[in-house]
Amino acid sequence: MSETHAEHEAPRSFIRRYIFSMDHKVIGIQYLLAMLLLAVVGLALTVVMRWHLGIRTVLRPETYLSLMTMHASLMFVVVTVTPTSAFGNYFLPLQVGARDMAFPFLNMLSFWVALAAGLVLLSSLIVGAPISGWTAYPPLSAVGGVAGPGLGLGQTLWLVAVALLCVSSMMGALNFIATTLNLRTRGMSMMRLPVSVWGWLTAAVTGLLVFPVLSAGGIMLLLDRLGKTSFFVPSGLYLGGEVLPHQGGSPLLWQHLFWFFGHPEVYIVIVPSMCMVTHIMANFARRPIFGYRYLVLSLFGFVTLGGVVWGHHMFVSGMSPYSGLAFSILTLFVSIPAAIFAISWLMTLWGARIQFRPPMLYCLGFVSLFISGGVGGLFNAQSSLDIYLHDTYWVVGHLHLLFAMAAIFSVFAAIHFWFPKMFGRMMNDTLGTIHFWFTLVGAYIIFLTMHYMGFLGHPRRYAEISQFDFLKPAASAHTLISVVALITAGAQILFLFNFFWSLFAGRKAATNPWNSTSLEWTLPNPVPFSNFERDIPVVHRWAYDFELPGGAQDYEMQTAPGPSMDGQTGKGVPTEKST
Amino acid sequence: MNDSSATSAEHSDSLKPYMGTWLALLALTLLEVALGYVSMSQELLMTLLLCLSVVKAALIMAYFMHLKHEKLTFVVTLVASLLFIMVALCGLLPDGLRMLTLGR
Amino acid sequence: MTSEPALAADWSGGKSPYAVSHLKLGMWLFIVGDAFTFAALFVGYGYLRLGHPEWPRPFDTGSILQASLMTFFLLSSSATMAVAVAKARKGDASAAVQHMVLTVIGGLLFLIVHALEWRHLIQQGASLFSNPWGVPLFTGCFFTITGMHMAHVASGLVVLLVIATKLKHQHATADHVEVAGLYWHFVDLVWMFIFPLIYLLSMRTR
Repeated sequence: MSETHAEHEAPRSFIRRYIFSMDHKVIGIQYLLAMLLLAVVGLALTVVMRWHLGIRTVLRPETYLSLMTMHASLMFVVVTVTPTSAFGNYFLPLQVGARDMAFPFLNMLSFWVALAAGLVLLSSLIVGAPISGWTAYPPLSAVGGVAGPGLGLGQTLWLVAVALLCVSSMMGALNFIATTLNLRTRGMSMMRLPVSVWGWLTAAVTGLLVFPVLSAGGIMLLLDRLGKTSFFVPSGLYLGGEVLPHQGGSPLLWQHLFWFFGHPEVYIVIVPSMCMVTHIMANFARRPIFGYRYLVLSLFGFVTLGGVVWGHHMFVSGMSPYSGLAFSILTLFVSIPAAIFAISWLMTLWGARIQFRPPMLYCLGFVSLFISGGVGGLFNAQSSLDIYLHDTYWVVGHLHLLFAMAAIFSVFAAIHFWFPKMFGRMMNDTLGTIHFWFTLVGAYIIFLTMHYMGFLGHPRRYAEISQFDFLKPAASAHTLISVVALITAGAQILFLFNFFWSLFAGRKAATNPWNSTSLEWTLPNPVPFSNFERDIPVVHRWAYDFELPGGAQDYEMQTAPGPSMDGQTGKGVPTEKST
Repeated sequence: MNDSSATSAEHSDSLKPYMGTWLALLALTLLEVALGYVSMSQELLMTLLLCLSVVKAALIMAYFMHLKHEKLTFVVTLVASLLFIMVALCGLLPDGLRMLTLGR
Repeated sequence: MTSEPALAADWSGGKSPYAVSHLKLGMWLFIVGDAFTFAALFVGYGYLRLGHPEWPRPFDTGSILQASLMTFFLLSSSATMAVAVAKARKGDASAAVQHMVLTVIGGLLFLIVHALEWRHLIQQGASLFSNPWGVPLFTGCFFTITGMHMAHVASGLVVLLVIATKLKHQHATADHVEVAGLYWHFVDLVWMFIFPLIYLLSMRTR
C-alpha cells in the first residue's frame, strides 16, 4: 500500500525509537517483555501457594485467596495479551506484507494502556489484593471493604485494571482487523494468509465483539462500589453486623455479562495459539497443512459458537433446565471446530519426517495438552455432570491443562520459532528440549492429579483442608502436586536463562534458519525499520508449499512464482503492472 | 443493489436526501411519542417502539452514515456482526424473570 | 450483485476489499464495539426491569416534551453534520466549518437541556441509589445510561471542534470530517434507543 505511514523515516532519538515507539516490531517486543515480567510474578505466586497447600501452612486463608486472585488475574492478562499482541504485533504486518500496522499511534497507545493495566493490577497486590477470584463475583466484589480483606481499594484497582485492559484490547483489535483487511500485499488473498494471521484476526474480531460487554459490566460494578447503585447487589444483604442499603439488584446479571465476555475470551487466547501452532508445525513436519479451508471455516465456528455458550459457566448458579439443556448442546458443538483442528494436526503429522527441534516439541506438547484437556471439556459441557464437578479441583485442572498450559506452550513454541527473526540469534536447542520435557511432564502430573482430586470432591479455593475428614486422601495428592509444581517452576529458570543468554550470546541466525516460507523470512536480520526496503513483494502462493517433489529445495517461499499446491494458482493474483 | 459504484454516488450535489431523512426521523419520533399516549399493554408498546427505533437507526446508518453508498460486503459484515451480538445478548433477558420468584 | 470473480479479486490483496480507507474502517469498527457497550447496558437494564414489575414511571408530559426537544436538537445536529460532510467532500471548507459549528451548537443545546433535566430530577430527590418514585434501580439505570451517552456527546463535541479548527486551517481533510461525522451520527443513533426505552416506556399514564 502506498498510503500514509509507509514513508516515515526511522526516528533518531532513543526514546522515540525504543520507548515511545510507533514501530510495530518494537511494540511487539515491548509487549513480550512486559508479559514475561507479569508471568514471572504470577509464577512466583504459584510457588508460594503450592508451598502453602502441599508442604507447610504458611499463609492466612485470606492471604491465600488474595494470592489466588492475583495469580489468576495476572496470568489471565499474560495469556490474553501475549499470543496476539506480542507475536501478532511483530509478525502480522510482516506476514501480510505491510510496512506497519494501519494505525501505528493507536498501536503505541494500546501498549502503554496495557502496561498501565498490568501495573495497576500489580499495585492492587501491594495495597491488599481482592479475595473475590478472577471472576469478581458480586456481591462479594460489589459492596466494598465491608465484605472482606482486599475488597476495598484492592478490588477497585483491580476493576480499573480490567477497564484499562478493555480499552487497550479494543484499540489493538481495531488495528489488527484494519491491517489484515486493508494492508495485505498484492497476491496475498485471504485464502493465502498464513494460518497464524487468521488466528490473530479471529482473536481481534472476537475481542472487538466481547470486550465492550465486559466494559459495560465493569462500569456497572464500579458504580455499585463507588456510586452505591445496586445493579448486582440483592436486597437485604446482611454484612458486618448491619443490613446494607442496596436494593433489588441481581448478582446473576454480572455472571451473565462476565461470561458473555469470559467464554469468547477463552477463544481470544486459544485460537491464535492453535493457529500459531498450526503454522509452526507445518514448517517442522515439512508438510502442507491438511484442510486449510476447513480450518478457516472452523474459526468462524469458534467465533459464532463462542457467543452463545456462556451459560455453561453458570450451571451451578442455577438456571431453567431448558436453558441448561440448550447451553449443554451448544457447548458440545464446540467440539466440532476443535476436532477439525485436531484432525488437521494429526493428518499433517501423519507419515511426515518430523524435525524434532524445540519449536516443534512445544507444538506437539500443545497438541497433546489440547486434546487431553479438551476431553475434560466434554464432561464439563454437560450440566448433569458439571454440577458435581464445577466447584471442585476438576475444573482447576481442566482450565489449566487446556487453557493455561496449552496457551503457554504455544507461546514457548512461538518464542523459539521467531526468536531468530526478532533478535537475530538462535536459542539453544538442548536447553529448550530439557525445558520442554520438564514442563510437559510436570504439567501432566500436576493437572491430571487435580482432575483426580475433583473426583474426590475436593472443593476449589480452599486454603486449608485438614479439618475435613473426607479430604484426608487428598493431602498426599496435594504434596505430590506441590513437589512437582516446585520442580516445574524451577525448570522455568532454564527457559529464562536460555532466553536472556541467547539474546546476547546465541549463535547468529541466518535470514531463514528454519527453511520457512512466509514473508517475514525474506527479510534480513535485524528487520529494517520499514520492513521491506524497496518494494513490497508480490505473493504467488500460500505459505505451505512444503514437500515439493524433486529439486534440491523442499519448499517454496510465498514470493516464488510458479505453480502452487494451494489449489488457486493464478486466480486472484493481479498482473505485474503496478496499480 | 448498489455495489461497485461505491463511494462515487455520495458526491451528488443534492442535499435533498439529508433533509428527507431528517424529516422522516422527526416524523417517526412524533409517532413514537404519540404511541406513548395510546393505551395499550407495555409489551406491545415496547415492541412497536423498538421496531420504530430500528427503522430510525437504519435510516441514520443508510443516509447520514452513507452505508447506502458503501460496498454491499461491508454493509453485510457490519450489520451481521451488530445483529449477532445483540441478539445473543438478549439471550440472557429471560433469566431476569427469575428475580420475581427468588427470595421474595 | 457483484460477480464472484470480481469479489475474489477484491480480496486478493493490494487494496481494501471494502473500498474504505483505514480511517473509516477503524471508526466503523470502533462504532461496532461501542454499540455493544451500550447494548450490554441496555440488556442489563432490561434484565433488572423484568425483575421489577413495579418499575417507576415518573415522566409526565412536561418531561416527555423536554426529551422530545432534546431528540430534535440531536437529530438536527446530525442532519447539519451530514451536510457538513457533503460540503467538505465538495471542497467547500468554509461551508463545512459553518455546518460543523451548527452541529456543535445543536449538541450543546442537547447537553444543556439534558443537564437541566438531570438537575430537576436531582432536586426532586433522585440519586444513583434512591429516588422518590420506587425501585431505586430506576435512577441507577437512568443516570448510568444517559450519563454514558452524555459523555459520548461531550467527547464528540470536542472531536468536532478540533476537526473544524483543523479544517479551517487546512490541516484536516474531508476524510477526517467524514469520520468525525460517523461518530456523531452514532451518538445520535444511540439516543434513538434511549429515548423510547428509557423515557417513553416510563411515561406516567392515567
